[in-house]
Amino acid sequence: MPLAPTQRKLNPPSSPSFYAGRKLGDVEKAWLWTLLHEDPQCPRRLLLDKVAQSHAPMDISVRHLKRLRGGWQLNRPKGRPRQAPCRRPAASGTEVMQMRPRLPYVGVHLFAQWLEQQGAFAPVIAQLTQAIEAHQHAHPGDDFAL
Amino acid sequence: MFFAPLFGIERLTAFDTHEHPLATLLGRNSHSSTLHQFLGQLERVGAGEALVPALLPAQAGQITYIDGPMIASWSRVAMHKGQSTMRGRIMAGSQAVIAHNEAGHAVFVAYHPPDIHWSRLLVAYGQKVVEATGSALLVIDRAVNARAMAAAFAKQDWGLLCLLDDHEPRGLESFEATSEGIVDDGSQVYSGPWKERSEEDRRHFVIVEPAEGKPLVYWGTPKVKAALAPPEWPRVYRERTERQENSCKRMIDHGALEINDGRKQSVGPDRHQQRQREPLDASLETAPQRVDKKVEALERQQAKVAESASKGHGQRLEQRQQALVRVAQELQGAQHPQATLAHQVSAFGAPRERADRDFRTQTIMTCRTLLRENAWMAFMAVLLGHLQSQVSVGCVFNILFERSGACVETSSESIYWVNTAGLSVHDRRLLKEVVDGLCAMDLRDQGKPIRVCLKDMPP
Repeated sequence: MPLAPTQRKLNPPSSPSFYAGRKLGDVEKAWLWTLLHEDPQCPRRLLLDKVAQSHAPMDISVRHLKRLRGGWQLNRPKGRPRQAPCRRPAASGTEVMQMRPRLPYVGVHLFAQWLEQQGAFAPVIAQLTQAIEAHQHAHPGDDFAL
Repeated sequence: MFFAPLFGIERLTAFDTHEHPLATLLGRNSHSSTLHQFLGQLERVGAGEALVPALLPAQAGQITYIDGPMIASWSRVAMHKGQSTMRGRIMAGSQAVIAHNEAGHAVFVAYHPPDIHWSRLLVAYGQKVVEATGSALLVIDRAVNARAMAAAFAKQDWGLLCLLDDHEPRGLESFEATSEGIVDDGSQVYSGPWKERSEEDRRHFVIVEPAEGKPLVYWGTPKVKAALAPPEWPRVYRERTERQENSCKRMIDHGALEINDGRKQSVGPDRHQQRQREPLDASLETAPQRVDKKVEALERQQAKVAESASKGHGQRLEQRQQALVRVAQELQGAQHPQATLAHQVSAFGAPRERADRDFRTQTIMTCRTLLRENAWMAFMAVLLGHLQSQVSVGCVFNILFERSGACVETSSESIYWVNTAGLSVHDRRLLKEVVDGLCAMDLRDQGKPIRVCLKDMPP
C-alpha cells in the first residue's frame, strides 16, 4: 500500500523504471527557484504549466515540488488563492530562451559581457579596419581574406 | 585569441586539443588552422603596430614605467643570443620592452633582439613612448650609470629616473649631499650632485640611507628633479615594482606573455662576431702607428748613443746604451701584439651570419595580452569598488575565472550561477561578495540585466 497517493506528473518519462528515482539537478532546481521567487504565491498547476512550456522541461512530481517549496519557504498558504490568478505562461516575461547547464569559465563569460557593454573592442576594431584599408589601398590586387 | 589564455590555452595548437567554451562565449568554434590563417593576415596588414595605439588610455599619465621580460626560444639555426632567463642562461629569444602608466595600464610595447641591451635602445624607445603617450617622465628598472644617456634625455627635456649601479658610489662621501629628511620607513634621504662631476654630467642624485643595510642611490635628469621632490623618488621607483612587475607576473601566469608566436626568421650579419672583432680591428688599426713611434724612438736613441761614443762620454754613454736596450725591447713588445692581433683577427675567418626572430606575430599576440590585461584591470577596478573587503586581484582571478557554472537566459534577464563546489568557507564567503559585486555592476546582456548567483543552493 503506497504511503502517499499517486499524483499527476507532467511529461511522463518513456522509461519510468529508470526515471522514478531521478533527482533534479542544481540548474533545474535553480530555475524552479527563480520561477517561485518571482511569484511565491503561484499555484502548483500554473507552475507546472510554466515548467512544461519552457524550453527545458523537467521531470518533477507534485510531491517533489511541495518538498522543495517547503525547504525554500516559498510555499503558499493553505486554501484557494484569494488574489487574482497568475498570468498564463504564454504571457509571462520569464520564458526560458536558452539554458546552459554546464558552463566552464563562467567568470570569463561575465567578463566578456562587461567588455561588450563597455565597447572595449571598438578602438581595436577601428585600428584594425584602418590597417586593413591601408593594406588594401597599397596592394589592390592582393587576395585578402580579412 | 583574446580570451584564450583565460581558458588555459597559451598556444593556438591547443585549440585543437583542449576543451574550451568558445562556442558558448562567441557562438562559434575555431580550430588552430583557421586562427593561424587569421594571424597570418593580421601580420600582413601590420596589425602589431596598428594595435599599439589601442593600448593608450583616454587620459595621459604623468609617469611611464619601462620594463619587460626576456623570452627565451629554442632553435636549430644560429641566432643572436642574450641573457634570456632568470637563471642567467645565454640563449636566443626576444626582448619585450613594455611601458606602463601610473595606473598600471600597458601603453606601449616594442620587441628587440636579445643580444642588444635595451639601455642602448632607450633613447629611441623613449622617443616613441613620448610621442605615443605624451608623458616625458620615464622610470626604468635598471641600475645605470650612463652620463651619456642622462645627457641625451636632458637634451630632449625628458625625465629619466633609475637606480645607480651599486659599484659606482662609495657611500655618501661620493656626493655633495644635503639632508632631505626622513621618510615613512625611517630611512634618511639625502640629495645632491656627484662630488667630482664634469660639466656634461646632468644627473641629480637622491640617496636613501636605511637604518640597516647599504644605501640606495637613485639618479634622475633635471626634468625629474623639477617634477618630483627628492623624498618622492624612492616611492615612485617602488611603485614601479608594485604596478609593472606584478602586472608582468600576472600576464606571464594568465596571459601567455612568455609564449613565442611565429617562427619566421631573418638572416643577417653575425653581431656577436662583429662585437668581438671590433676592438681587435681597432687595436690592429692603431698597432702600426705604435710600432712607427717605437721605431722613431729607437732611431733617436741610436743617434744619441752614436753621439756619446764619438764624443767619448763615459757615464752618459752607458746610460744611453741602457735606454737603447729598453726602447728596443718596447719596439719588440709593440711588434709582438701586432702579430698576435693579426693572428686573432684572421682566426675569426669570413664574416658569419646569424638569424633574428621576426617579431611581427609576437607583437600582435603581446598586444593581445596587454589589451586583455588593461581590460581586466579596468574590470577589476569597477568590481573592487563594489566589494566591502580588501581583496587582491589575483585572488579574484582564481576564484572567479576558473570556476564553472550554469546560465539560463530568459526573455527578461540572464542568470549565471557560479559553482561553489570544493570552496573553503572563507573562499565561499569571498566568492559571495564577488558575486554580489558583479550584480551591483549592472551587467547587461543585449540590454537584459544579468543576475549572478552561487550555484550550490538558490540564492
